[in-house]
Order: sequence, then C-alpha cells, then structure tokens
Amino acid sequence: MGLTSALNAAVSGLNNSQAQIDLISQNVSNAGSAGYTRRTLTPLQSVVANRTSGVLSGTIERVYDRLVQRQLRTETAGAAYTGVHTRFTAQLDRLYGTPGSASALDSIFNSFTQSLQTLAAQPSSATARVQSVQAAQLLAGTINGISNDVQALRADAERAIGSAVQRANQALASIEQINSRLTNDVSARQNAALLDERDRAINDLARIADIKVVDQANGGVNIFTTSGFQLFDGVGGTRLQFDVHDALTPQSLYNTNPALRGVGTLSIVTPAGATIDVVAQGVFRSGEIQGLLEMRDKALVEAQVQLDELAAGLARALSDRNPPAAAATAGAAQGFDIDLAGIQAGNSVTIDYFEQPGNVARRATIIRVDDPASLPLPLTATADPNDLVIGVSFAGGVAGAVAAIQAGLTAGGTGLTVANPAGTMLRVLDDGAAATRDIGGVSAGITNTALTGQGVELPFFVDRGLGNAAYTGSFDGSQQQRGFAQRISLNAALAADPSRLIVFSTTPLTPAGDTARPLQLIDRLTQVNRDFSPEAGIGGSGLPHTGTVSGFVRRILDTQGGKAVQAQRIDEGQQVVVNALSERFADVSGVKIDSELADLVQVQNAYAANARVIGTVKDLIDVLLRL
Amino acid sequence: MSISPFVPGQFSASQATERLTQLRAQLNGLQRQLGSGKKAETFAGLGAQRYLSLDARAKLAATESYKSIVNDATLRINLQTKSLEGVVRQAHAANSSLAPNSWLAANDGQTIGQKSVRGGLDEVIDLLNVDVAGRYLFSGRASDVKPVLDSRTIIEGDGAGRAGVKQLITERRLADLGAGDLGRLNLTVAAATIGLAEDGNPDFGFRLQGLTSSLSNTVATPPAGAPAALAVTFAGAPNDGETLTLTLRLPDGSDEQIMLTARTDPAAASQPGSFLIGATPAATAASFSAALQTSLQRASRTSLQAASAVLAARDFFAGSLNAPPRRVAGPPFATAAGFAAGTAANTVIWYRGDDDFPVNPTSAGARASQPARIDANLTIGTGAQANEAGLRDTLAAFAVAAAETFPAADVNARERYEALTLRIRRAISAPPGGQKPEDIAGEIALAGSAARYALARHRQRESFFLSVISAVEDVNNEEVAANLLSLQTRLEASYQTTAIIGRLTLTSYLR
Repeated sequence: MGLTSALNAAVSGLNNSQAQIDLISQNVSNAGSAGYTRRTLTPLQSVVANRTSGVLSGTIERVYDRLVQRQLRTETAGAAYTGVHTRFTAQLDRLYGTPGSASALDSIFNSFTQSLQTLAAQPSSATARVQSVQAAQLLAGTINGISNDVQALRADAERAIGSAVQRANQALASIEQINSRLTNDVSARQNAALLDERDRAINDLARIADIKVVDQANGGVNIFTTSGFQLFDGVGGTRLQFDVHDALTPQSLYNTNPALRGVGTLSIVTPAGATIDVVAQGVFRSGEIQGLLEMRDKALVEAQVQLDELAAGLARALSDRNPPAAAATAGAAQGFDIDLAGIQAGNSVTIDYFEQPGNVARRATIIRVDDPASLPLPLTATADPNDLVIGVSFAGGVAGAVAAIQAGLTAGGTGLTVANPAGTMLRVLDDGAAATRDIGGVSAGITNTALTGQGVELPFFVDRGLGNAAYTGSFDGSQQQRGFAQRISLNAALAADPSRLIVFSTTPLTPAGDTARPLQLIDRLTQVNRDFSPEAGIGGSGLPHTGTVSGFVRRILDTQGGKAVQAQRIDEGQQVVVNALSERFADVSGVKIDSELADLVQVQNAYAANARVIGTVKDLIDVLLRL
Repeated sequence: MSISPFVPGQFSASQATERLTQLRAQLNGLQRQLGSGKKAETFAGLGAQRYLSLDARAKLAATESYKSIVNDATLRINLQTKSLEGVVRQAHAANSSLAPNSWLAANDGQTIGQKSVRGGLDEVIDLLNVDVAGRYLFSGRASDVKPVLDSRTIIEGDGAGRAGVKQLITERRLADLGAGDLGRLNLTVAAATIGLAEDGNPDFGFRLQGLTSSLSNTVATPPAGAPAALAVTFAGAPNDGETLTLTLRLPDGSDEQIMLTARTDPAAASQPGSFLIGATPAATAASFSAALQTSLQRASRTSLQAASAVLAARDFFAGSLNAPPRRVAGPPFATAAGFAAGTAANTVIWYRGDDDFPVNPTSAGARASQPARIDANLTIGTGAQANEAGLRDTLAAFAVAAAETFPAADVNARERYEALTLRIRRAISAPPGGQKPEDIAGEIALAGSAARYALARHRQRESFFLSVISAVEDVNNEEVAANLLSLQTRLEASYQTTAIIGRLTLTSYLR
C-alpha cells in the first residue's frame, strides 16, 4: 500500500475510462451501421499477489442473441423468397391492364367479340368489317405484348439470379477471408469487428439462399444449405456459378439435360472442381435465388403457357372445321366414317369409346405428325392427360396413315379397327360381335387454311413466325404452340380484304349481307367449349379446363390476380415475422444512444474521480517533497 | 384496402420510419381510391371477387352488343314495316283504280286506272329499294345490292337485248293464241263433221274441257284422248234455239264457255254465238264452224290474252339471278311446244338481291336471310326479299296492268280490259302464291315485338351487371373518407409522437 499503488490504480482507472469512452464512441458512431452489434466492456479488478492493484479494461464483448440471430437468418431467406414472388406476381398482374379500362386484356377481348356482334348485325357495312379487323389486330397485338413482357420478366429474373450469384460469391469470399483470420489467429477470435463482419457476410448470404451456420470449435463456421449441401467448409473455395442468358424466349426452358437447356444454369462448384446443378438437385428451398428460379422456370412459364393456350384456342376456335361423322357398319362392327380431307400437321381426330361391360369412357386422339423425329408425342400434346395420343404421318394421305393408326390403336389396347374405305375417309369400327367396345363418337378439328372455299371457318389469326401460315398446332420439328402468343397476328389477307369476314365462298359468291360467318365466329368464341391444357395451371391439377375462349381469358386474369394477392399476403406475413425478429435482435444488439450517454456520464465521472485521485496523490507527494 | 394495426411498443427509429412510410402509403392509396373511385388498379387488388367483375364485364359487353343489335334490328323492322304498309296501300289503290267500271279508252291505249297503277308500280319499287346507311332491306343476304330495277327497264327491257315484261307478254300471247288466234286449237270441217283438237303442246292455249249439247240430230263427242279432241257431226238439222256449250280451260286455270245457238233466222244467226241451220248438214256444219271460229277467236283475244299476259308477267317476276325466268321457246312462238329457260343475257332480271330463298330448297326462308341475334339464344329474322311471293305477285299484277295497251282499233279492247282487270284484282286480293304483303309485315312485326322484349330484358341486365361490377370494383366513398380521416389522425399522432420521442434523447440534455 502506498501512494504509488494508488497512483497506479488511478492511472488504470483512467485507462479504463478511456477504453470505455473509446467503446462508447464506437457504439454511438456505429448506431446505424449494418451488422454492428452493441459492444460492452466489463472492467475487471486487477489482482496482483492477492491484492487489488487497479482495474483492467477487460474484453470487449458483442451483445447478441444467438437464437434470434439464427431465426432471423432463416426468416430473412423466407422474406427474400416471398419478396421476389410478390414483386414478380404483382408485375405480371399489372401486365393484364387496369380492371375495367379499355386496355385490360378482357376488355380488348370483349371489344373483339362485340365487333363481331356488330358485324353479324350489319354484315355489309364496310365500317363494321374494318372495326372487326382492327379489334382483332388490337387483340393479337395485346397478346403479343403481354407475352413479350412475360419473357422480359423472365429475363429480369435471369439477370437478378446473376446478380444474386455475384453477391453470394462476394459474401462467400469475405466469409472465407474473415474465417481464415479468425481461425489462424487465436487473438483475433475475440475481435468483435471481425465477427461482426463475418456475421454481416453470412446475413447477406442468408438473404440469397436458405442456409444454416454451424459454429466450429476453432472459431470458424461451416455453412450448409437447409437441404444439406455444404457452401462453406471452413476453408472455402466453393462458389456459385451462373451463365446469364440475356434474351429469353418462350422456347428457352429449363431442362435436366444441359444440352436442351435454354436458360442459364446455376451450379455450385466445389473446391475439388465438382459441379452440382442447383435446380436439378433442389439445392435451395428458399431465399432470393430460389424465388427467382421459381419465377423463371415455373410461374412465368405458366403465364406464358396460359397465353399460348389462349392464342392457340383463339386461332383454332375460328379456323377449325369439324367434319360430320357418319355412322358406318361392317358386319357386326359399328362405328363412324369421317372425312379427313385437308388435315393439317397438328390437327387431330378424337375417338370417344366405351369399354364394356361397365361403360368406361376412354378416348384416343390421333394427331397428324409428319416428322418422325417429333415422335412419340409428349402426353401434353392434348389437353386431356388421360387419353391415348397417337402421332401419325399423313404424308401418304389417309390411306398411308391407316396402318400406323391401327398399330397405335392396337398398341394402346383400344380394340378398335380403322380402315380407309375411300379417298380421305377414315372409318373407325368397334370390335363387333365381341361387344367389349362401343364407339361413342368420332370428331376431328381440321384447320382451314384459305379464307374462302373451305366453309365458314377461316384462318382469322395466323402464325407470324411461319410466314403467316395458318396455326394448326403442329408438332413437326418444334411445338408450334410454344410461344405462339408472341407470334399470333391477324391474317394479313383478311386485313387487306375485310370483305372476307363475310364472304366464305366465291362460287357461288356469298352475298354481302350473309351472317353465317360472323355468327359462327361469335359462337366459337363465346358458346363452344374447348379443352385447355392443365399445363396452364387453370382448373384442377391434371384436369383440362373446359370452357369457352372468352371464359379462359377471364380465368387467366382471375388466376394471376389471385396469385399476386396470395404472394402479397404471404409476403406481408413474412415481413411481420422478420420485423418482429429484427426488432428483438435490435433490442438486444442495437445501440441505444441514451444508455450509451448515461454510461458516458458515469465514465466521465469515473475519469474525473480518477484524475482527482491522481491530483490528490500529486498533492500528497508535493507535501512529502516539501518536507 | 384495410389499415394494418399499429401496435405501440418498443420504439425504434428505423421501425418508426417504416411504420410512418406504411401509413403514408396507405394514405396515398386511400387518396387514389377517392380520386378514381376504384378499389384497385390491378386485378389482384380487386380481391377474391374479381371473377365476378370479370364475368359481369364480359356479360355487360355482350349485353351492350345485343342492345345495339336490337336497336339496329328495330330500325330495320320499322323501315320494312313502313315500306310494306306502303305496298299494301298501293295495292288497295290499284284495286280501286282497276275497278270493273273503270274502262275509259284513251288515245295512247291505256286507261287512267292503268296510268295510276304505273305510278303505283314506281312507288312500290321505291319502297322496296329502301336502305339504311347503304344496307338494302329487301335484298335478303345481299344487303349491298339495290333489290329492284326501275319500272321502265322492267316493262320495256333494258334496250340492250334483255327482254322486259312487255316482250314476255307478247311472246306468251303469240304462243297462247297460236296461228289464227284460235288458242292453239285446230278446227277442221269434213263434210258434216267439225273437229276441234288441241295441238299437243302442254302449256299454251285452250284446253278442251267439256262439251254439252242439246242440238237435235247431232252427235257431239266430248273431248277425249291426248291431245284432246272433240267432234260435232250434224246428221240432220238441229232445232232453232238449241245450243251447244264448249268449256275451255285457260292456262290460268279459269274456265271459259262458248255457247253456240242454232238459229233458223239468218239475222239472228249473224249475232255472235249463233249459227245458221243450213239446208244440209254440211251447210249447217259450215255455218257452225264459222261461228265456232269467231267465238274461239273472241275468247282468245279477250280472256285468253288477258290470262296469258298475267301468266307471262308472273313468270317474269319469278325470275332471279340464279333462276332466270322461263320464257316461251321460240321463235316461232305461235307453234311453241313449251318453255325454255331464260338467261340473264336475254331477259331483264328485275330482282338483283339474294335469291337463296326460294332457289335453294334447303334455304330457311327470307326472314332468316338477315338474322339478328338479339340474345345469346334468341335470333329473330329481320330479312325480307322483294322476290317473296307476296311482293312478287303484287309487282307482277302492277306490271301487267302497266304493260298492256288497249288500242282504240281493237274491237275486243273493253272485254279484254275487263278480263285483265278482273284477273289483276284477283291476284292482288288473293294472290296466287298465297302470301300477301300484309303477311310479311306481320312476320316482321312479330320479330319486332321479340326485339322489344329483348331490349327491356337487356336494360335490366345491364343495370344488374353494372351493380355487380360496381360492388366489386368501386369504393364506398363514405368508407374511404372515414378510413382517410382515421388514418390522418393516426398519422398526425404518429408524427407528433415520433417528434417527441426523437427529441427525448439524453443528448439534448447533456451540457
């Protein structure tokens, strides 16, 4: 005990105060910094030989709640995922226009049918004809526009994945760097700044992908995706890789076969050089990237399919004629004859039959596919997922196709027989005396390719991508339907000669006031039901949506609107969770200026008191020296 | 839009800012709603009921179309009705113009009545050529074509080789009257036997229908065989006053009787319809034959010629573009054995419109030629064609009256005129096709009343759909205003609180 020890204690107190002020200044100045956790300094008494000799500054400690931090990371990934969904579905919803406005898709479709109604009432009016043509042009243009916008959104998602991958790699690189310093240098382990920085990088990563962080004994961390793939093994080197495809078309789709893939491939490259296909392996379950991938490969693709179905339905509703089927018998076998003159690639013949006993309804669909490379047809070739689909070349006419049709029907176990009694006639018969099959009906949809001379149906809309040829739903080469929404356009010949809206025959010439054609067009759009593929995601899953073209337009708007609302609701819920968690986290880890300042006052007082002690010691020493 | 709850709790600057921003966004949203009157600008924003509004909009659009179609159809129907009323009025006027006592020869061979009917014909044609904005109402499906040519071309021909009614009447007259104006009958005398026989053509002239005789000492063989022939053989002298009646059927189906009375007094025998009983059967036969010839010629030049003209006109008006009228095969016409199809190159086709009805046997009729779909499953026929039987018969009746002339030199003029007007008036009051212009007007009026009912229904529907759309898409102003007010209060309070809390920091109090 002595003045010196008092002086030393006071000096250690001063030092401690200075350290505290230093820390308070750090806390105050970083009050708003991202990833900064409040730090505290707990002074310790300095014990020398069982005696307190002063105060030690102690270690700087980060104040944070590990559990909340972990939850927050999980929920941040979820929020990023729902946020992406909300952003994209809202944008998609906006593409269809403002409800009730003239630019909304349904309004434009309604004005098209209205123009046809007017045309049916005033068939010889040149104004009514031109208005119908213009309304059709507007409709085709609108469908093109929305489809282009859908692809633009997909390209946005693609680019956003690219940028997210970059950020993820930056985060991984900085985690790697900090982690190596923390593990290699024991003294650095308590370095709050480094730990904060590493947490910040991990948080960045957690927004992009759903991860879990496992702390290691050596102060390092390992990072896994929730699905169990290791993103960071404590040493590093794993990177995400993504080749951005700048322009996406409806044909550029994800395919498990990289050679057939039209979109960027996201993969994880391990330090050992192994590559993991993220999408194929289902690496991510949440987070920004997963949200973007789902938009690019599912939601927006589905929106495109809806538009394609709409465009195809619109074109074929107006262009397809349905030749009548006449009852036919051969011995005990009964069935139908149907004339397939002019059957186009992609056109189909549908046989509805019943298996007896039990009256089980079955369906077989024969589709004209001349290109053998396009065979066998996918199950999605028809809207009905349960029918037997037979792709057959009609290059040799009906006579040349009969054998292949028979082979398909036999292979499919239908028990039906086909024949070609004459010309382009196809005869479908049941099994006769065995009576295990009954044919309910045979129908065909044959696309008219000329404006006149083929009946009241006409190729009103054509495929711009195929040199303005009629849309027939061909499978030859590629599926004509995919991306048709981008290419559908008004038949230029019709635009050039609107009188063809009325005139369906030149010999004898259809009178200018004939209403057969416009009335048929209206019926086909608003009365006649069609099957729409379940791929469009409308109606029950796996079941085709049956309805009118006009109804399908409304279902698209309804479905997309509903999805946008749902995404928004989920996102709002997720944001509430994230907010609550970040509030809790901030409550623990955030800098509170008031408490810091209160500490400051204390420290200031302590400093003054220590200084006072030094002053007193000095006075005492002065007294001593003056003796 | 709903207001998310504000939970006062732990204050944190960033949270407070976020809440304020949210409140501000809600305020902006409400302001937008108040301004536009609409709940949302996207389909998502309409909420779960968006399908109702989408559906109602589609139905509203359809209803609007139907309404405009009804209005259009009503306009057509009204004009058609007016036209048909005019036609009926003209028919009545013609009926009285051609009254039985209207014979008053004029220098140009046409009576005042005929001239007024000619005026009526022009008016009827004008009425049938009515159009709405270039769409003709009596053309069937060919609504861009003026249905009826002008009366001059119809009657006189086009002057370029296409025959009009007049020429067809002339040709038919020649064919019906035959050589010597005997109505295509061959009259022979051999000793005391007079033979009268049809010439074997199926279409023209008289048909021998019956023969009754009270002549004594005479064998009257009624018409028999094919071609029909009859014979009268005088075995002796008939008594004075005894008669023989020959019934002839005209091509229009009416019968004409020729009665010949035996007379001993030469003066009485010189009257028409009498013959002199001669000294010998041969002399009687000669006298009988001469009297028969005179009577036949007279019947030919009056009733037969009148019937022939009416039939020729009816044939002319039965023609249309795809079924040109039949014409007498020839020349020579006097010996024509039947009809030959006319062509658009040699005959005026008076009706230029759509002739699917009646040319096409499967045609659904003139009314169906202009269907107006006034509701999803309700189609009314508002079509009409100038070549419908009712209108065609009227036109034919008018045209024959306008075409025929009665020169002063013609001794049979008055009788022929009366035979003609009788037939014309009959054709107008009981048309041979069975249909009258009134019937067409009646059918169209039925369509009109269906259209009126549909319009009332569409008006109701329209207001219903509008209310559905409004319920889904529109905001309730009171509700928005109330929300706005409460939001404003909360926002002001929040600003105030934030400001107070913001000032409440130790920093401000440390000196």
